[in-house]
Amino acid sequence: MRKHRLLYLMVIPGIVWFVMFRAIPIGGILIAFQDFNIFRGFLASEWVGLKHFAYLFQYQDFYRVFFNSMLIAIQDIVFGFPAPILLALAMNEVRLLGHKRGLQTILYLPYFFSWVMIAALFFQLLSLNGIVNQIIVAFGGERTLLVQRSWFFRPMIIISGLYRNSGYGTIVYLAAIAGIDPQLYEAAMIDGANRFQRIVRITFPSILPTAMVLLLLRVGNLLNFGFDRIYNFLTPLTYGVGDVFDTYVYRVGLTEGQYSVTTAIGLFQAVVAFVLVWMVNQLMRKQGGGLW
Amino acid sequence: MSRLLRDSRTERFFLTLNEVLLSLLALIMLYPLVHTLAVSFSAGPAAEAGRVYLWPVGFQTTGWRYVVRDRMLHRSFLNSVYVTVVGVVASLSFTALFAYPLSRSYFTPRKALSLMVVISLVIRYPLIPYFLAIRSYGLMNNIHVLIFTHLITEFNLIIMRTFFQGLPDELEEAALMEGANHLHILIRIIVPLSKPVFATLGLFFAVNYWNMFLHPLMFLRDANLMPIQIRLRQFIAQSAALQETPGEVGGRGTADLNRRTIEAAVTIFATLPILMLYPFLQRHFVKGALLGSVKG
Amino acid sequence: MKRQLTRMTGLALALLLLTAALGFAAGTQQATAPADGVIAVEHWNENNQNGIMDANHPQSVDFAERFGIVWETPMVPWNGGTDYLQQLRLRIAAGDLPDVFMPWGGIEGELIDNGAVADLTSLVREEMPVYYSNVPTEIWDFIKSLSPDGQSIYVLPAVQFTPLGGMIRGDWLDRLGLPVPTTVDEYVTVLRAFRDQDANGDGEASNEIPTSGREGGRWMDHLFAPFGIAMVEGFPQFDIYDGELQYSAVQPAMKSAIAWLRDLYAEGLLDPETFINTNQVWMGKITGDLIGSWYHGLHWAGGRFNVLYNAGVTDVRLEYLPMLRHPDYEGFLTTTDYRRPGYVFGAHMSEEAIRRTMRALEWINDPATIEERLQGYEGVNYVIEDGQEVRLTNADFLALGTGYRQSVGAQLYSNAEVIATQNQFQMSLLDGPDDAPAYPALENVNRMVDAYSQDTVRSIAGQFLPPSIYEGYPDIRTHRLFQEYVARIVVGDWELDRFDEFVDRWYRSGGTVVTERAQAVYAALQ
Repeated sequence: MRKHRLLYLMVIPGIVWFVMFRAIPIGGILIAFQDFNIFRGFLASEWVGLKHFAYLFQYQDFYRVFFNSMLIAIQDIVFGFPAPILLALAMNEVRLLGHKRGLQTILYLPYFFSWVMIAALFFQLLSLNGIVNQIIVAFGGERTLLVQRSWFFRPMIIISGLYRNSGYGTIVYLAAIAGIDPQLYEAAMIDGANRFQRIVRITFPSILPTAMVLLLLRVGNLLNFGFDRIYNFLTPLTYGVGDVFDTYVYRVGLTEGQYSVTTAIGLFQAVVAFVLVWMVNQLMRKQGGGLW
Repeated sequence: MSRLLRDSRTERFFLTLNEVLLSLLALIMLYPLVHTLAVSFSAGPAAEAGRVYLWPVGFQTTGWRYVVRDRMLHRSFLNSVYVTVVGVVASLSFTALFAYPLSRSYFTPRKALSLMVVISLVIRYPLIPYFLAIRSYGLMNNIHVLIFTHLITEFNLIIMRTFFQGLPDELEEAALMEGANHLHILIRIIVPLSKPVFATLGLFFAVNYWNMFLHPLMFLRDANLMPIQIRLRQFIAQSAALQETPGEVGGRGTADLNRRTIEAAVTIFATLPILMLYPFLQRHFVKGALLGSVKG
Repeated sequence: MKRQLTRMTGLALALLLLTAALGFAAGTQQATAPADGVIAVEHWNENNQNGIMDANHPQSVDFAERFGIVWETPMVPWNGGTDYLQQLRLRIAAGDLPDVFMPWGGIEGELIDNGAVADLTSLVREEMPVYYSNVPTEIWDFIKSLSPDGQSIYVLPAVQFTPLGGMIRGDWLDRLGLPVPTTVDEYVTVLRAFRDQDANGDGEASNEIPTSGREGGRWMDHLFAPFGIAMVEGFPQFDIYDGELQYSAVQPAMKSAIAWLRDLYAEGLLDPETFINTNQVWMGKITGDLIGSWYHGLHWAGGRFNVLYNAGVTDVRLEYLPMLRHPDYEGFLTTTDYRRPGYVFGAHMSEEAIRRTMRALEWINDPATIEERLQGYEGVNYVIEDGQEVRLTNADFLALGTGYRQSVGAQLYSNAEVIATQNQFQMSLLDGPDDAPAYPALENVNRMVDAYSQDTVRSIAGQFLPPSIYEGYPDIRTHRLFQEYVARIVVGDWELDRFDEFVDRWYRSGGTVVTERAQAVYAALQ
């Protein structure tokens, strides 16, 4: 044990950091149980117990917000999680190194454009004279404004998410693929495995641990889409399906300044996310993985 | 090694198809950049009326001339470069120092600390307590507050720890036998083996630092300390406000005319440096093959 | 082992120290200390409009001499008011208010109730006599009603002449041989002609959009006005209906307005994309010579004129679209004398600092000083080249990087004459009527603003409602329910009769409470 004492010293800066920049601020989550008043501060604000939670659970639209958020979150994981894996596997099979590098660089470009710009781009493509409608008309269809159809809202959020984030998401996987022992491939080739088999038997299993960890991290952030991502696509015609936690918190927190309510929402989201992370982690531990 | 063995016909067909599809995808992904570039070189009225797509309409360089002249923009650019460079080095060091013990199976508090990291990942700190805490550390209006607050991110920490876990224990056991300590092992053995993950996380940290908006907004006050994203957004806001001016004194409508092109040029200026980073880092991803040879 | 331990600890400490040292040594920017007797005033407002300013700014230097203050305007990103409000709340939570600032989002009530801002009752009379007498008494009465005793002034109100109205393309009308419409029916005839004929003269008869608005049903108030609906920039307001103060969106007149809009939409007279047009797209359509009629700030219209002219539409002419008369309703264009709270002063400020700042604000808002202010400062508003004064344009301000506006400090007071004087001054700098497009653009703007001044414009009863009436009902405050229903009914997603459901839902989800509060406040003010 003595020889590992250094390890204990090594974690000290990290722990200090976590205490200073995470634990202390997170302690402030107690304002969810107060009527927090920015003028009076934490100590002088009144304690109200579970009042804000009671308010939330009685608020009719809360369930709509929860439902909308969950639905988008689940679809976002179902499509958004495998996309970078498939893309990374596909890119790994590109034969010319120059071509491969060029592709990688280009595919991660959209990540650097703000949601405002991405939304503007989507709205342009989907406008009445946009390319999508031109294709619809060319196939004998009728021009339609998809962006103001409720049923199209979720697909639009998911697709724009794929568009902006998939390429950036491949970076971790490409790093993981780069770490694979080339001898494994050589051995497989000697065994007569074709390209497809090599992908299934070697490349994919090698990046699976990384993928599992990323899945867990994703689940941990399940209900946070980021306000910008949703808001820029929202129109009054899609309020019904597009009102999620982020937009709700924006209304209550920023326009009303009710920090206790927004903190209560945050705590609720955290509990939901933690339960899910815990379940996924239990499953992964059975497979010999898991985060803790 | 793919050239060692010939691919079959079907394989070659699929490979070609794969490349064609990826290239098409790349074309779609290229659009925002190409479009913004085209706008930045277009004539004002064409850009304003949304008539620019892939190629400049009525070529002019007004937008870029503003980029060259705006001193505040240059200042904020340098601020961002400074924060990004220092920040990436500091963050990688801090993260590695914490991730390494967490990755060792014989380090007993490993599970408790990992759980702590996960909890901190799941719970978003409430804004006002966060602000007050950091303010009480005396970090207000200090550009390094951007770095201190981002020395670790839970996401990157967990990725690095996972990568370190994949490195076999035998490596350090041998070294420990020879009298090396854990810090030696981290610096001399683990880090050289982890180039791909350092390149990846370095990139992630760099992107975080470069795109930072909320933190400078909260903690910085002096305009001379502001990073590029703040300046960019300020610029776009100012240019949007131009349409609500009663008219300009002595001007002949030039600002109104060119606001979109100026905006586009500034956007490109603020984005290009971070875009260029990836091609430079790419060779490290390929060099990661080194790892395999050690394992063997 | 021990040696290694020490080395390890040493390294970790060194790392920490290094970062820390870097942090404290290089990080903090020291502001230049103001000269003796000069008071630094940190000043916040919507600085998209006014730019940032430090002690070295020519206007700061001037203010230091004139008023004995350094007027510092740090960068406070605005972002529709939300970034600004968030930063303001953080500063409040930290107990560190800016000195002089514009309250936003209804926060002035909280500021006053918590004693965070200074009582200005006597100071404003002493130090800002011109502004004090320019602001109408009824606005002062309202401002006083915000204070705990109902007698004190804590807020300097912004009272601005803001001519928001309809516009129609005169050159399009000429091309089709049509007069400017004055009634709803005439307007529909014109819109149909825009739709069916080549009004913009580009050889294509089908690309004209007769009229258009923006997301959330905003910026098309000219289509609601004929029905007598109180509305500001697309947000329905409280006004007197059936002798009582009520929300205009739940009145039967609103149903008629929506029914009409629905017809316009179905007929292709209202832009099919009207509910998804972002500002940028909408402006693009207007300056792309595609929209025939729209609603916006008439005094801001010069920018559109310039772009259209420079894009080759050299015969562009904008006509003022009068409030359209409707046979069954008494229409009016909504205006509010009281725009919003202008400034409050932090309670921590010394009386001397408040007095000096007020003197500066008085100077900025005195109509008599406008020429001097428009003349501006060397290096900001003009440069001297070869002994000649060369005016700098807005674009040059962007490049100077110190903000771009000629006038620093928000305007608290303006009237029609102020706008006219501004335009006259600008025209005097040009080379006469042939200096196109700038000269004809300014002339056009003046003509429209004049016409607006003669029109049926009414200040509504609900302009003096404090934002606190919405407390606890963010959905009512943001007009969300209204926006959703109007959009879905107009595009034909929902039947017109669902408007009744909206009225019901609005009342049930807090509208009743908010209406009662509004009526109580209104009664107290009377």
